[in-house]
Amino acid sequence: MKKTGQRDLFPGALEMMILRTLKRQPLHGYALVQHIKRTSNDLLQIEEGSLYPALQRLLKEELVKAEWSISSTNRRVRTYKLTAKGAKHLEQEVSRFEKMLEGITRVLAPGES
Amino acid sequence: MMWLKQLFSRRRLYNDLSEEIQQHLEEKIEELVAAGMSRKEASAAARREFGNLALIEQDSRSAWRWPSIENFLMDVRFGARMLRKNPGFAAVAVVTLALGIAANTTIFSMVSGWMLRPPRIKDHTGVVMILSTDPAKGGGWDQNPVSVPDFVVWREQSHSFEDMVASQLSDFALTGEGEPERFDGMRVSASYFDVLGVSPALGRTFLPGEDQPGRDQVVILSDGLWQRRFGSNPNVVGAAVRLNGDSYKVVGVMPKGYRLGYYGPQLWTPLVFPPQSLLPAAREDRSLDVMARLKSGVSVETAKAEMAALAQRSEQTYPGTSKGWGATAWPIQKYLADEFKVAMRLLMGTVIFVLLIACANIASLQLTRAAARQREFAVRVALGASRFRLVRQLLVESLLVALAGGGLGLLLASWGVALLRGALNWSDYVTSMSGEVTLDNTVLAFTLGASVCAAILFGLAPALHGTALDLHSTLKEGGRAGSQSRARNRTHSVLVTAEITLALALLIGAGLDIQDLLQKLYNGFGIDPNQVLTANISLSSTRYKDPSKQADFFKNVIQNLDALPGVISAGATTTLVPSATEPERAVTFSIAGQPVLLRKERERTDYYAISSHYLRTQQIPLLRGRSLLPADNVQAPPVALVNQAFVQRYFPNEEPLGKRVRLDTSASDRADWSEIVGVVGDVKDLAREQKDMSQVYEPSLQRPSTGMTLVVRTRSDPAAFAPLLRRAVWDVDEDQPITRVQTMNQVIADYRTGGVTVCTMMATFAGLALGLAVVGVFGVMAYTVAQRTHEMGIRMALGAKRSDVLRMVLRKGIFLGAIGVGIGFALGASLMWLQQASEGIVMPFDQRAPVYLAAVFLISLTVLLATYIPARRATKVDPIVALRYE
Repeated sequence: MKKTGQRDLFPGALEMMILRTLKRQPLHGYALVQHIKRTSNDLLQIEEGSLYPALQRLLKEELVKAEWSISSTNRRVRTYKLTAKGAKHLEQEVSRFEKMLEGITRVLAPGES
Repeated sequence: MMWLKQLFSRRRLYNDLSEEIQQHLEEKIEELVAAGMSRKEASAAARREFGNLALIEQDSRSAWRWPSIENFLMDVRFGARMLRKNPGFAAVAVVTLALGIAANTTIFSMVSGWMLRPPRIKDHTGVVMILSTDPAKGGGWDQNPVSVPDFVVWREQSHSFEDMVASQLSDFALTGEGEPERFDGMRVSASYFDVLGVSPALGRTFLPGEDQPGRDQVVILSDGLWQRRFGSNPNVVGAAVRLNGDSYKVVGVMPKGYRLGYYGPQLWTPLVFPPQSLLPAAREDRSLDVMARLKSGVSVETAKAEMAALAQRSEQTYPGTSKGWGATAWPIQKYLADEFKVAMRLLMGTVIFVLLIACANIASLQLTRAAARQREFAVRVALGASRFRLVRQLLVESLLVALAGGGLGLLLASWGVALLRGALNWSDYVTSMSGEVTLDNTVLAFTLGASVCAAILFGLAPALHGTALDLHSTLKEGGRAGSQSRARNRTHSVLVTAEITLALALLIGAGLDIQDLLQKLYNGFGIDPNQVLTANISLSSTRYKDPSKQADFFKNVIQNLDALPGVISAGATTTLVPSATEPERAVTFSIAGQPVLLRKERERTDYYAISSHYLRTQQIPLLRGRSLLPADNVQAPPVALVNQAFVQRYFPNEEPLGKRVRLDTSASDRADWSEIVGVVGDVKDLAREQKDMSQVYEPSLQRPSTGMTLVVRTRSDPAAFAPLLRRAVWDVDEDQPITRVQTMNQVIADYRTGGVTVCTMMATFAGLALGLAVVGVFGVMAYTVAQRTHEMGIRMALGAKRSDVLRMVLRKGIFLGAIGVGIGFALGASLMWLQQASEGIVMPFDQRAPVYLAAVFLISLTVLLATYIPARRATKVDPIVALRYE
């Protein structure tokens, strides 16, 4: 069901963005995906649903925890929160990602070759 | 155990997920509607934005799956399907394993019941057995009872214990209503049951002070006796019963199922120490079983050290009686289990061999099956399965076979246990202990463990072999992996050799046991045991205090017996069977004219006080001189007979007739000497072939005794004569109990710890092992032949004769057989040697040689046969068919 031109994110990217977002504040699923979409200026074309498998994996790894509550719009929502383990994991992932990005950037840098 | 929780709370997780997604969509829809879309449009847009709902939900759920467990369950389902597809293999493997498991479970039920189950007393870890030790005695058997003076001193001086109590088995005659009866009872210290922490079902236990003389006429009944003799009447407490001629008051009844170890006394009375038992000289009479309860916080080690110190003090104070003697403390359960250690080790070893052979058979089957499944594995590997996954698949299949085999084995074992309980009947003790042999939880756990171990044993090698694939050649049409099958053949060969080895070792073991038994049963004992009935009589020492009354009693009974029709001869003896296994039953003696020694330095001999017709009744031959006569009574000069071994040992070059001997049958030396008037044949020991047992006979008229065994030789079935024998005794004294009415053949067969039962078990297991090994050898040879059909076709097409092919196949069987026999022989012989050495007797090899030869011959013959039949089939190969076979 992919639209043409859409690129898959690399494995772990979505998880990393979820963790980073949750680090700022606990959110429920819908708010989370809206936030990611908005912040990325819609550059990343994410299927809204693809968030959920990622959230389930994070829950299982105990990187986030979830709680049912009532939202400000008086809706029953499941709010996700970063755990201490999740915060540590995010740090490691981000630094790994930065190294990777730096490597890719250098290879792609014009002028050489 | 997070994953376990997740496994079970999955439904909730999924529900949460569904609801969450639903909420997400609704929020989106509402937002879109608020932005001006119609509800229908908004709904479609929301779904579009969300993506594939079903797929996403499935993906989300799969995050919660536990892949290894689910794969495992998949393996199980697939394995079960594979086994169903090949029911022949499954059935053979399951039945083979079931036989091995059943044998192990049955035997282990004895180990569990007798050695592992804690004694039914309060906090058994706090109770220790106090034992006298004599390291000089050696033989590894260093658990002696304690003497009365030692007990009294140790009880007073020790600090490790809350209390220390003594007990002693003792004979009781119960008279009064019903038939008089004699059985084992136990005399115990007053606080005996307090130390054990056991309460009675009815009434009370003994009170402090009831073990003082004059207050000790109280008795506690066992549940069995209460049921049998008193019809479970609850009013029995307070009633009076006659024991050994005295009146005792019943104060309590013990609960059903109360027993402590090997002993099953029918009643308990207080243990009173008569004044002479407290004299220093009584230290030599070690006959008390002593137990103690540790003070809380005191370890067994501390108690041991204290007992050793106390014993050292006794040794220093009384060097005459206690030199070299120590003392120690054993946890009660360890002490009780020790009784069965040797026998259980032997039996468990045997059945484990059987299980190993069964495993080897199944492994060999699996190997063959894995070879046939090579293509299946190759396809799976080609599709991306890892080798680990394949090995796991095969192990799971093995596990299924093992569990099915274990289940069936358990079923067989429940039948085996029933059989075993029926066979445990050679003495009252053993019969009462047979109830402890059950399939309890420990046994079930053992069976499960054994099944799983078996699965790994018979599953791992074939799984590793079967999955070491050369993809290319296996997948190629008609491809044969040459090096593969060579490795497999090697494994087959090792398995076959191992089976032969184990089976031969078992055959040797069982063979030696059976030889032992046959020797005992049929090689003659110097008596003719057929058509002979025996019965024990023990006269009450209060009613028959006068020795002449004792002599008269037996004289009258024998006269009554002699007068009965169908009786050839009747007699009585104080000793029925030679005492080699119980040296304490031998008697010290002196020979007139030789230097006089201290009692404990004197020689020992078996001693028999007999009625004049005893020798004739047992058919013990008179070799020289004269036999005993009715005239050899108190008025006549004392006489004695000795056996041939006695003459060879003490009068090697002298004339024994006319020599005089003095037997120490009472506490002080006799005043008179007995003249040897005759020499009789040797009566052999029932337990072991010990050639040089000296035996002395004296007339019971001159040496009366309260305890004798009546012996009657009858014309017809001796067992049917029992009621007549009882009548003959009760005509003389109707209150006289009669015990152990048995034919002489029963006495012999049952003499040593149920030799027949143990032999039957060993023979059964050895037969099972042989059968399994034969099936294994046959299977492997048949497989080898089938595998080489192509090759044989070529050989025969090229001119090889049928005899060449036959020889080729036979050679392999004989080669494997020879290796197996060689190792098995060495293993069996050394195991037997170890076993005998641990019992302290090593039989000379020449006596054992026939058994070794027979075992080797039997196994060689069966291996040859199991090889010959497939080999014959190989010669029937039609070259054309064989070559077309591909």
